[in-house]
Amino acid sequence: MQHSLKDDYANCVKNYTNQFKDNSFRKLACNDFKSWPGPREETWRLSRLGTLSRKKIKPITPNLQKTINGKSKHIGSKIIKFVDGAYRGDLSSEMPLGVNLSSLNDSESLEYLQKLKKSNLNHHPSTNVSLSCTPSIMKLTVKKNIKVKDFFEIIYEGGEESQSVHPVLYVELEENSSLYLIERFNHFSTLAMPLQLTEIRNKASLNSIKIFNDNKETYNLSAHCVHLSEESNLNSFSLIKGGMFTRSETHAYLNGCGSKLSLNGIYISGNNQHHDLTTAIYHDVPDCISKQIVRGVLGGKSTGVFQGKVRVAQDAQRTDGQQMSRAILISENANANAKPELEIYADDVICAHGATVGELDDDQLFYLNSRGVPMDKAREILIKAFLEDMINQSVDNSLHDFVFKEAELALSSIIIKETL
Amino acid sequence: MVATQETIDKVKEVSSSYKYGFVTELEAEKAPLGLSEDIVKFISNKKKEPKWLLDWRLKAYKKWLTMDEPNWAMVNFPKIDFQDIYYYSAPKTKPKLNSLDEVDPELLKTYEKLGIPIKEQEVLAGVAVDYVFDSVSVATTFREKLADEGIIFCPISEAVQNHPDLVKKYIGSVIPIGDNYYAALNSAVFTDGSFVYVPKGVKCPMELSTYFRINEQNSGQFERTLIIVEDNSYVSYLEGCTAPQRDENQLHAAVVELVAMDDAEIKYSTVQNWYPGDKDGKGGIYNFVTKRGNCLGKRSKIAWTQVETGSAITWKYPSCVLRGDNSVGEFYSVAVANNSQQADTGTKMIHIGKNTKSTIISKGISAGKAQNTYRGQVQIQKNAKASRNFTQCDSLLIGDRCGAHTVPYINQHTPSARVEHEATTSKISEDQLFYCLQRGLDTEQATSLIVNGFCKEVMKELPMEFAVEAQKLIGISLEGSVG
Repeated sequence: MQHSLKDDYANCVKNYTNQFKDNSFRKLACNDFKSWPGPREETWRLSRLGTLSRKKIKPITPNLQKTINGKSKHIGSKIIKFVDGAYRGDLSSEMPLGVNLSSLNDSESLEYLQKLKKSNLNHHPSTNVSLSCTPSIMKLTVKKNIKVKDFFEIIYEGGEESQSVHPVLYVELEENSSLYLIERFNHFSTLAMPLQLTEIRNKASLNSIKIFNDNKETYNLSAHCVHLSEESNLNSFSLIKGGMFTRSETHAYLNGCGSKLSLNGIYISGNNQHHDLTTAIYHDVPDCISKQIVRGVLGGKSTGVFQGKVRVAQDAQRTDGQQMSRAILISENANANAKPELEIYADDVICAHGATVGELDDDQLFYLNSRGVPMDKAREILIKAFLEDMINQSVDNSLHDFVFKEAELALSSIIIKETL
Repeated sequence: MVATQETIDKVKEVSSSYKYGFVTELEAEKAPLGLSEDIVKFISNKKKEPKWLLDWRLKAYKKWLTMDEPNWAMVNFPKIDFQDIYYYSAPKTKPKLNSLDEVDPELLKTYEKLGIPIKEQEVLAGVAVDYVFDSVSVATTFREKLADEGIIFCPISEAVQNHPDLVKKYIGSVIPIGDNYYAALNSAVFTDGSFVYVPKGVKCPMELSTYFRINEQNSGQFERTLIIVEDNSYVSYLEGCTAPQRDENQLHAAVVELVAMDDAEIKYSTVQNWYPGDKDGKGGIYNFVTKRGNCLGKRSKIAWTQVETGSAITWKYPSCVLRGDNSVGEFYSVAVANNSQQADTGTKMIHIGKNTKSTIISKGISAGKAQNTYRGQVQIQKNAKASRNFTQCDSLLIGDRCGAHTVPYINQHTPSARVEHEATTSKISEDQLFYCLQRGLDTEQATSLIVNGFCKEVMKELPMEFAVEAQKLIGISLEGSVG
């Protein structure tokens, strides 16, 4: 029974793809999606899609008239909106000089597909399904030597129950350019499969913040592939708090000497939420640095997963790769899983990872308590400090308050529940 | 000319890369090639086993037929043809032996070549050695002294005859027949192994030790070890291996089961030095072992210590199931992989009882073209309140063609427990090396010294006799990896 329903979504995707007559890239992508990855597949073992595979879902046909009443105000000064997975020029800001936003034509789309097929995201369901069903692939380009001052904010929203949305984005930072990008996922659909390819050229620099705050019934399977060229820099931070099941999977390829990557993340989970932060960092050339700090707070009956792989190729001498993950369980029924993984083929490297799972430190709680802070308050202070310390490190000062507030909102709901 | 012959011999001796590579000429009694239900029956019949054990074997065999070979480990090797293996071979000289004098002198010579003069060991070390020579134990010493204490230490085939109740109760209780592919295979065709039973309140007066040797060409060894330690008792068990050099790959799929009752303690130490294959990875032994200890009783303790230097491929995860409240599991491991060796090894700590504690210290050393993987799981189940785990895995890389990988899994289902994991990867620092060279050591000695320092935390857990041997082994294993 389950098997036939699994095929059901694959069939829906196939049928949906048929309406695009000439797009060869869609056919190629569609052929590679047969069914959902099963629990025997190593990277999906801890995040199982059984429940999703039994749901009746089909790809959405975007409503280009739809407007959504924003549930929170914008933080960026340039807005790019995707509704139902389709780019909406009428709801987005005009691009400043040196920045270009346009959709890819057929041959460019095919090239996009090939780039993803060469990465380890080639079997990710979002790669194949979203490329089959996306209205169009949007490309955001920052021209050579342009340092964009404005904060760019991309908002993904819309979607309907029992449908899946497929926004696909291509971000290219040309040489010596820079950009600050904030992405917010506020989908309403049962399934969202955002796909992104980012290429950061020589000496370019990207700061990125992602906030996953989809509707409480939503499954979000985000896939992101990043390429870093010589002396480029990516400073990325993700906050996962919404949705029923959110998995953010990022694969970063350091293929230019002297590139630097920071891939930080926080997940705050309560109720029955399942949050998964999966990353893979590939050091393919010498003298690159990658740092990763991940923190999670888990309440209710939630499950948190961190899977972080660091692979250092034979030629990637003098690599510095550091990874640290910590999870705090604040409820009896919460679960934490971690799988930090080092795969090292070069000898002149400094690589380390650490992972801890536990509850709040008794000594710290006692210290606060003995100074007259009530237990509930003490717990709250410690959890907030646990997260704030990290937000400080990864987010621009002017955005700190905004990000911290977003985290606080999610925290307050789970902390209150736990102390009652 | 005599001198020429001598020279040839000398050159041969010097050039053979594996010191223990020799084949003892001994007639062996073999089962027909391949595996089938009849072979299982043949083995059982040969051992004059009771019906229940034959049924158990057949059940395992049927289970095995339905299973797939695991492929998740980071090791590559040509597919094993399970029909191209002899599942039973025993030295023909099998009559009961009353003393060592009755043992085949050929055999005794082999032991001597291995550097363990049996008589000396008997007297000096105070170790009771249960020699396993190609699947059948031929000499057991110190049995009487142990018997005085009520300790049973004998080949498992003998235990099946003399203590069937104990064997029936515990065999397969820690590692069920369908646990994994190789465990199922072992359950179906295991030939021999050791059986240890320590009754209540007895502290075993000596270290128990077994020397395994793989001898007959193409005979996979399927050892089965079962150790049961009752309330308030203690045993330390040593296991060490060397094997003759040969071309064809040999399969070794052992199963080791430990059971510790209330306040019992088991210390299980292994030094493994099987033939690792030549420099290009030709030949060498496949070591696919399932080892698991069950801390059944309250405050029980199981400690695994292993030094792995041999085998072409190692696939081994000695685990602890911490079922009793306040039980303790420990895992100390040094894995050295040189040339084309591949090792995927680690541990599992399954915390079930309250207040359980586990420590994992793993040191991996890769040289040449070797791949060394630590794979470990720490699982804290819902009722394992206030449990603790600490894991440390360090990897050392020697040369730029090798790989060191760390794959830990942490699954935690209770908030009051704490799990910590840390891992580092680095190479021998130029400064350390320079310091040693400056003081007159050559590069190889210096490397051996530094590597032994790196492994010190694990080495100090080994019993004395083993520690010395292990230290030498690590030096030998790394020969040719630097300079």
